[in-house]
Amino acid sequence: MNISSTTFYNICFAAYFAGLLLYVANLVTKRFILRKVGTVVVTTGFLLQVAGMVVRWHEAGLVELAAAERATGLTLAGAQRFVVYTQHPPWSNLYEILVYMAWGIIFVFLVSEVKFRVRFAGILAVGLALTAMGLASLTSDATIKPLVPALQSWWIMIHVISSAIGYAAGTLGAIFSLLFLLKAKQRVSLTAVAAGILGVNVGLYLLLGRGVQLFTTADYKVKLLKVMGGELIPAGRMMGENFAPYYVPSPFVGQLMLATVVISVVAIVLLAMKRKTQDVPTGAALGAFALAFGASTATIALIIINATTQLDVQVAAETAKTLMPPGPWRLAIQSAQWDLALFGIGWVAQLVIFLGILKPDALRQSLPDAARLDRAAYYSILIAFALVAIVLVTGALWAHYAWGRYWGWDPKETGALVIWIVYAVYLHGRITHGWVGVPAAVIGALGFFVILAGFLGVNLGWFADGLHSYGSG
Amino acid sequence: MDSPEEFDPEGRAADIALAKEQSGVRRIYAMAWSFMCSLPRAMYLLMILGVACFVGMFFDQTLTYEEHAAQWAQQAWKLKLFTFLEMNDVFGSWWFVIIIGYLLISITACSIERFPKIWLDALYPRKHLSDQQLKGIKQTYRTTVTSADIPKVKKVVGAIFGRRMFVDERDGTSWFFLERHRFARFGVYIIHFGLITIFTGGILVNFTKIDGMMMISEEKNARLVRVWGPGRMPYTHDLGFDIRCEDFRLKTFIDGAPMEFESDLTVWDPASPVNPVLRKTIQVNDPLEYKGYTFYQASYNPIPGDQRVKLDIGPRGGERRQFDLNIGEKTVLADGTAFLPIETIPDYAGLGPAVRVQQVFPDGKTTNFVVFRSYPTFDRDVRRDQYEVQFHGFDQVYATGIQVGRVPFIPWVFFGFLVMFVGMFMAFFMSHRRYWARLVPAAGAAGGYDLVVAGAARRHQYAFEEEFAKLREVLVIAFGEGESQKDRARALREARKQGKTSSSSSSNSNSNDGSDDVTTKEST
Repeated sequence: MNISSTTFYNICFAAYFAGLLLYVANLVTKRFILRKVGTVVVTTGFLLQVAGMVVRWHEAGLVELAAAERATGLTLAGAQRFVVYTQHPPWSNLYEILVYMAWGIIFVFLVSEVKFRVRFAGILAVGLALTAMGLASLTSDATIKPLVPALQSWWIMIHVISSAIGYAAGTLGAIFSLLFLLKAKQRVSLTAVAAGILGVNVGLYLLLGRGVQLFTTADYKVKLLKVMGGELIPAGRMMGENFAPYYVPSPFVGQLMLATVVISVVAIVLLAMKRKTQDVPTGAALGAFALAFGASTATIALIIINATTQLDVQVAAETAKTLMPPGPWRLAIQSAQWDLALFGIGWVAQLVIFLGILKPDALRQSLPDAARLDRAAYYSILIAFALVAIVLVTGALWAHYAWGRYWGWDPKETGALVIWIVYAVYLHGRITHGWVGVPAAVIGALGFFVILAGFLGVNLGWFADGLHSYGSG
Repeated sequence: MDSPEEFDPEGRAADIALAKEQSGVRRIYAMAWSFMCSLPRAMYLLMILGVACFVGMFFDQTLTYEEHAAQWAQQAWKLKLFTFLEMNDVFGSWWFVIIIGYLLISITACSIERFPKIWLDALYPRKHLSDQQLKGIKQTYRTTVTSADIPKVKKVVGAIFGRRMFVDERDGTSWFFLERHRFARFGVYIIHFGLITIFTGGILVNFTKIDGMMMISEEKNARLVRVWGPGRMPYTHDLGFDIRCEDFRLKTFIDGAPMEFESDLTVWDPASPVNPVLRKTIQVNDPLEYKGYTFYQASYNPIPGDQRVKLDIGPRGGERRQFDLNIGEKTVLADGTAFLPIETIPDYAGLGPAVRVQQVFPDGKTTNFVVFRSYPTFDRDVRRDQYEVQFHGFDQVYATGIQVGRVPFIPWVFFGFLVMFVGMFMAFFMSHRRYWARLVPAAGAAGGYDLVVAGAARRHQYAFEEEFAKLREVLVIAFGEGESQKDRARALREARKQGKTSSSSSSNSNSNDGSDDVTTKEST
């Protein structure tokens, strides 16, 4: 077959992007037809992605067949051939998982579009799907490699299918929760939401700036890359240590991040003081928020500028000795792709709330009523809770049959458990504790970051290495 | 779990009041019970458990205590804190066990506290609601009908409620009642029962399991298993029978990554008259089972030394011959050129396995070069000599790595999974709903009757709202608009504001939107 799965994914990316533009245009011009066309375009993209995944499954099947035949020296036929041909589903490494997560988000979004018709959700959901696909295209390892023995199991199908849809439902739940917080004027002021979003942003900066290191040395470090066969590969990868990549400081970013954190904390305090009295912040609080927003914009811009302009990087002498193939070393977008994606998500949240502060009535009018948002969030998270339970149990069964233990506190297992616990808290709080509305929405919105940490954190090496580390960024 | 407003606040307050009056052991017992049954506390504990899990994810649990200590806990106080909190084994540490244990007791206590009340309510539902009770229900339809309409009312209500309707007529008042999926409310308890089963199963598994490794060289026997005990202390466990690795086979991809590996195992049991008792080829995902033990193919290890290097050597572009050479063993070709492997490299700069070969020319000159298994054409493309060398790999003696597991209580845990899913199905896909209808002679106008139709659901409030709206449509067609619900809601709100008797959570009083709470207060 001449058309590869990548072609499908590229067209699908374009379709999602067109859909995003149409949704934004709908929001600006308030023409319903634009949104309808947008949904049609996104649906087309979704179907193309399904086609792409089928093609990729076929490609992977050919790779598996070729590998098996080369290794055994036999030509496979019949049932044996079918098993080998189908055993490699298109969600077995980080690249494929990211594409698959984008698929899951779009799937859940389209279902919610039929069921709840939440305006505005399309922009955030399609935006996230595009981010995931963009990150996928930046991960250096998109080639199909034969499956490692531990993944050759039929449990992988149900385990991964439910995890993608479950986490996507959780993500949509977080989006609906955020929109609920913006809409529910009687219950929570935009001032409080702005403070909360800045708080999350500060948390992201501290986490990705590696906490104490940011304060002691004011350094923000990014991965060192090397050009190998036309591809940019992190230095750590070549050393055979996927999870201890070599890092260099990105100039002036650390100081700027520190300034952003300080300004944001001041803004949070000012906003928090006014959270009960002012729905929309004014005066000093508004100024501080604008300043914090500007500072985080500048930080992201500087990371990108550094990454794209610093072609050859000088490496300290003692580091250079430990690096096997000699320079030149590069920085590129790939040096900090994950950090940029997360900062970008935080930045978009700030942008939305900033626009909301500038035009509160326009924002709230464009959103459906709070009850519908609350309902959409509740059902999304209910589904996420049920599916994550399936993920945990199928994972336990699979682990029992493959590794001999059903639960081993492996980081990824624990991550899924934490996600489940968060949603259990959400549901219990809601049903028995009267945490309807704002408290539920806060948990639901923060659930997104728990998903990120639990689901991708392990692949990105935030946590200790575990058995699930089949793909790395 | 059900609405605390319905049973809990008064009940628990009464418990505490009672406990304060009593003294000694009974008082402590009553206070402890009330403490354990506290749902908010259990929820905060759940959050703490989530945070604790994150902590466990940050510290690599596969490292030993010494490795952790060497890595980052060099300062004395850090090491002390690390040791005290058992951070090398977070999930088995005392504080983690306390959290899990508390949660387990709390779930059990909460269920024991609430279950009998729910059970009674499910068996003996309130079929006759007073005016006061009807007022507390959100989804209602009220209208006034004449006595001529009574047969019509009975017909319509009968048609809506269906065959399983309960009817009671006393003193000119008619009561109708219907309940759907009344056992759905036990779903939550079944989930909790499943969780308790999984937890207790996990504890039993922890105390009874054997989880160890054995490395068996090809054509060797073994009966001792290396087991990680509590605190990752290794000890050995005697199987009581022998496992023998007859053969180990490794299939690799062209780049050297393992594709499949399998071992032929035989079991030699002294208790058995015939040996070997069992013979099986095990693979990843396909273990051997014997006497409650399961033997999983987990890993493999090349045995150092005794390596033979497989090299293909031939004239450039011509036919090549395969040689099996030991390190330092020379092979001489027809024209006097000799080749000998001098060093094997398991992984050369991330490019995979390689071997350094020395070439001795007929004139005695020597040259060294490296050939890679992953790049078969490397030598031809790079060295451009009259001979080309291709490296096929090592012929290696392996030890197979077998994970030995004995998990006697695993069916218990899997039963818990099953129970949990049954409970989740009941809780999520079935919704407990109750409908009441009452026809009572109106107080003022003679010959008039007040008709009230009410409905309440415990969960899935939004779906029920839609369901009741459809029902209301039918009633509106039959008996007219009736009393406006908006007016009624406003009247209720005002009454509540004036009275301010209700101390329930603020979300209830806040208007209709977003409220998933049960607003039915049958007991008020």
